[in-house]
Amino acid sequence: MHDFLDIHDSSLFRHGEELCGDQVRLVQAGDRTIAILSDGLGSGVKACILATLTSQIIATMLGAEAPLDEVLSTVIGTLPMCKVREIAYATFTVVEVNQVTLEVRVINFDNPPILYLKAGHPAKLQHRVEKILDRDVIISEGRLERGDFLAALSDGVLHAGLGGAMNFGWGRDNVLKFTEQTMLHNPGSARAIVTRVLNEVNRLYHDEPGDDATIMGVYVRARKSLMVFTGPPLKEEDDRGACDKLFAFAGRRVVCGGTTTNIVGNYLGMTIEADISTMRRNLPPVGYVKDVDLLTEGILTMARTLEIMREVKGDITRLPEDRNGAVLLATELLEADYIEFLVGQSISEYYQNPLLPRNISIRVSLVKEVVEFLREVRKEVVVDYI
Amino acid sequence: MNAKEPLWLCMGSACHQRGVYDILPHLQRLLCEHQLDRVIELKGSFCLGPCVNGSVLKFRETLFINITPENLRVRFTMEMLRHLKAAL
Repeated sequence: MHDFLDIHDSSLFRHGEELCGDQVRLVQAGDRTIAILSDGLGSGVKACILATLTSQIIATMLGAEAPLDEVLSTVIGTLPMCKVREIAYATFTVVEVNQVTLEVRVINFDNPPILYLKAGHPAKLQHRVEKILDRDVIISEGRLERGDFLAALSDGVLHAGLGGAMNFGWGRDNVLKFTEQTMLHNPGSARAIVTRVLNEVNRLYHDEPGDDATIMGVYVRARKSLMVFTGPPLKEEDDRGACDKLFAFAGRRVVCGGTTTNIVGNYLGMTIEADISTMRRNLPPVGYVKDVDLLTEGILTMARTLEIMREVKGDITRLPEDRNGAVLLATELLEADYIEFLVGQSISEYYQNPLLPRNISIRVSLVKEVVEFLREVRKEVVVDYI
Repeated sequence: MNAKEPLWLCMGSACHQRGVYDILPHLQRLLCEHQLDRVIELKGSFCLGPCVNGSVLKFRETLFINITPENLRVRFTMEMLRHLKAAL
């Protein structure tokens, strides 16, 4: 299986603004992933609208495989030009990566040059300057490898500390150096790298950024895989096959559901004990057994897991500290890039009771909601009904 | 000293909904009152089966069903105790 293209973006808003003048859009078009960072000149509402317009035009057109010069001329032709300064109002960087071949193309229009680190050290992509509608557009091309980190920046990142902590702002060399330092500590995810660098930007601005600052990072790393086996198969004779599949899976393994846990226990010839210390008033406890990373009760835990993931908007670093089934399950799900659900469709007669609260209705619809949410936060999810 | 025998307390969805969280500390207290805690250990189990009749407890091969926090004391003394004493 090919490597995982881990993309994360984060922005600081200019101090006092409620809208961000930097906008990021992601599009998936077949094997191509297109990430666009647009910086509208100025800040606040006007900048936000310009950047939104720019990033959305590019996303739509490149997603539909329009030729580059047409895309650029549409954007440049659409953008208003400042009469005094004769510059376009929104700059942009497009990073286009083929997930399978990892071929990359970066199109930069007036944004700071991208950061590119290979095996944690600064590197360069081949680049050329093209003139489109009389403006210079820098196009870089190459092929990424596992461990590469590439980031598009808005100029607010380079200007961090301007006139305050640093006379002339942080500057590109320092940003690159700091990113290199960050990579030394094995950050593990694009989110971790981007967050650390942007925290430093915020620190240099003394928590009051003088400009919108955005980093859109692309990190190529090994894929983290997870299989979740939940619910007894419709036909009992399929129990064994489902367990075979679970234990053959290369990655982390979670079993979700009491009866499902018993199926796994029978398969292994063991009684699986629940860890009572993880029981909460609203959540049954979890269990552990060799070669399975987590066993939980089904419906109640999964319903609560979905709630928690929604509360933290899929940000694993914001999960509650409590060691209970729902938090542990959310951690497994949010940690993974690729998740395979093995969903048994047999329904326990207990759940046929119409007096039960709705949140413990039917497993299948709950799993569907969880899957939908995970896809929204860019997880690759496969569901197999048994 | 021999290992303690497990008294399984079902922690599946249905039993949980029916009050296992409150049954657990009660049950632990009852075991102590009858000095059974020296030989019996309370353990959490995944689904024990008869969900419609929760909460469910299991000792050796015997299932005790329809246990609630309210009827626990009576059911324990009248019914479960004689089974559990076999562990002494």
